[in-house]
Amino acid sequence: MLSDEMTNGGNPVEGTGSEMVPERGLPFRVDADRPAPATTLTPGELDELLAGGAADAPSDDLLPIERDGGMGAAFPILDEDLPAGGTTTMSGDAGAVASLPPELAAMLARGVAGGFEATMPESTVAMEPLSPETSPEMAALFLTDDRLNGLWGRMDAAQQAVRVSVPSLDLARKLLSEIETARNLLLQNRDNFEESERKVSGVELEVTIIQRSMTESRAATGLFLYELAWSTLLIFILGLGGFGINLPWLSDTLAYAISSAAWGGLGGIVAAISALWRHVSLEMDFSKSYWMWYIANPIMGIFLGVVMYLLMVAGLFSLTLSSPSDQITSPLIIYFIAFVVGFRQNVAWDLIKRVTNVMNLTEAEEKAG
Amino acid sequence: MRRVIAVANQKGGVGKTTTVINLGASLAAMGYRVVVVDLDSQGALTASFGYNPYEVRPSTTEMMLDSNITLAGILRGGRERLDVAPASSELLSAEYRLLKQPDRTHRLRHAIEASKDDFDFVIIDTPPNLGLLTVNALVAAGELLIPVKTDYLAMRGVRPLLESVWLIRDKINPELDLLGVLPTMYPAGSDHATAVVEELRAVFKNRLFRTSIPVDEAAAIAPVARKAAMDFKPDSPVATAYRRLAEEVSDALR
Repeated sequence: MLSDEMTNGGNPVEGTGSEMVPERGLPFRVDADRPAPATTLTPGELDELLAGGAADAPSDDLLPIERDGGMGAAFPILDEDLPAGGTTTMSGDAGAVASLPPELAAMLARGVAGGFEATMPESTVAMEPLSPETSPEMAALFLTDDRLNGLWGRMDAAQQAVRVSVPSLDLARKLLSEIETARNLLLQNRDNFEESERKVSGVELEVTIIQRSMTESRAATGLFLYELAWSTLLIFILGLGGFGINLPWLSDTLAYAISSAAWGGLGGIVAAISALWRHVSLEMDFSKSYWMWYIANPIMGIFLGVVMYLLMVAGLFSLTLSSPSDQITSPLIIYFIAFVVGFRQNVAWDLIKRVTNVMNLTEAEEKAG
Repeated sequence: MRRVIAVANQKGGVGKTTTVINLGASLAAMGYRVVVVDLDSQGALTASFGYNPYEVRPSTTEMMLDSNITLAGILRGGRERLDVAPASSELLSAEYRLLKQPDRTHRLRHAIEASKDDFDFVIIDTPPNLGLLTVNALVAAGELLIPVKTDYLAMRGVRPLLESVWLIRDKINPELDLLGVLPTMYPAGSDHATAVVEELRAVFKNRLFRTSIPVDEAAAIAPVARKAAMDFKPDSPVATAYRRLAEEVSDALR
């Protein structure tokens, strides 16, 4: 049995009504006529006020959780000028909050951050997936002044790097324009940090690739000389007949095969030199990590040229044509095809695949017959 | 006359939705044209009038996200002289997306103001938090009705709402006035509940409604029948209480 003293004279609730009243008092006059309407703020004026308030550091008194992160500052509606001493308990299912996506949990928890008592919804409802865009709460949580200043410094550095490193006038203009857009975005609103940083990162990446390409273009020179050596050799081989050199041991079949190989190799060389020109001079994104491709391409062209020749003289290539009478016999056509498969090696793989498919089909028909 | 009433309390389970349904139905029965607006993603109000929050379109979600959609554009029939602005289950994610909109706090106000139809009362059911949707309701409303469950902790939970009302009045909507504090779920014969009502009276004086809403099973069962309590069981204590409340509201706003 509780004593009267402990139970406040039998009515423990008596006098606790003041706990409902904010420090500023009630926001309404409750014992008089209704107040006359005052002037309202326009949405534009309100947004200006809120934008200024959101950037201010929240009072510690109002942030029992996540003080360092400033989640209170992230809430763009009600986080300014709150009366101190608000209730800061979090009722509802805390586990459910923890299991929600971070953005949503932050959204639901903002009442807590703003000094309010927040409650969880009583039932789970189906939701659309949250937008991958940055949550304003989370953005403000991590958007410290240091980070903003850091991004501004990166813009300065990127601008200087574009001036120094980008040889193409059009590309330099494009990159400088991107930096200008990033600056304007950041000046408009700190919530644009993510978009602004993405643009700056894009410029930095382009500049880095160009700088790397310029540094590594020495390796491109070596590769160019390598391709040149191959082409000299192959042209010499192809020119043997023209020089009046007849090798008695060289049968016609073998001569065609060697010529096909040479034409395939030349195709591979042209492809490699073309890629060197494009990546070094045009797109300025050359990377020596692709050195093996440049080394292997002429050799691959040679082998594929031979394979194409074998397919054609064996009559297998005609399997992929509309009728067997279309069989290719002219050496010039064979050389042309060898060059093409050396230049575009995926064409060779495609042809080989088609022949294989036709052969598989023939075998299946024979078994069925 | 068009009165916009926000029924708000960041605490859940205090009878906000029940109050919106039954106050709306009672005012409609008195001859007023009423619109009840569901701003709670749980869609309890919507479901109480027989609409599925998982299917209903257009809803307050579309209205809040698209400034071209007015309140009149999403209304569904509820009962005689009462229309429903239903909520869909996507309203919660809509609140998130709304955060990026420049007029995020005024969307509901604009949607109501842009509606050509003439209503006497627009009553807004708010979610059990002080998020952007509740802020929209407080910005759109001229009057605030605060249901308070008659127990100590529920009473104590009124303070955060009043603090946010301070902010709304200071910065956004100085016209927002307190229509009244409504004691709900009043258990007959409870000394504690009586003491809580006395405390509410001491603080809110003339703005505490004379009517208290009793605990009554009819309030819980009526939504299953897709009806307001006064249509489901007209003689029930809760139906009677809400009829009296409607008269008080009508008198207060006359």
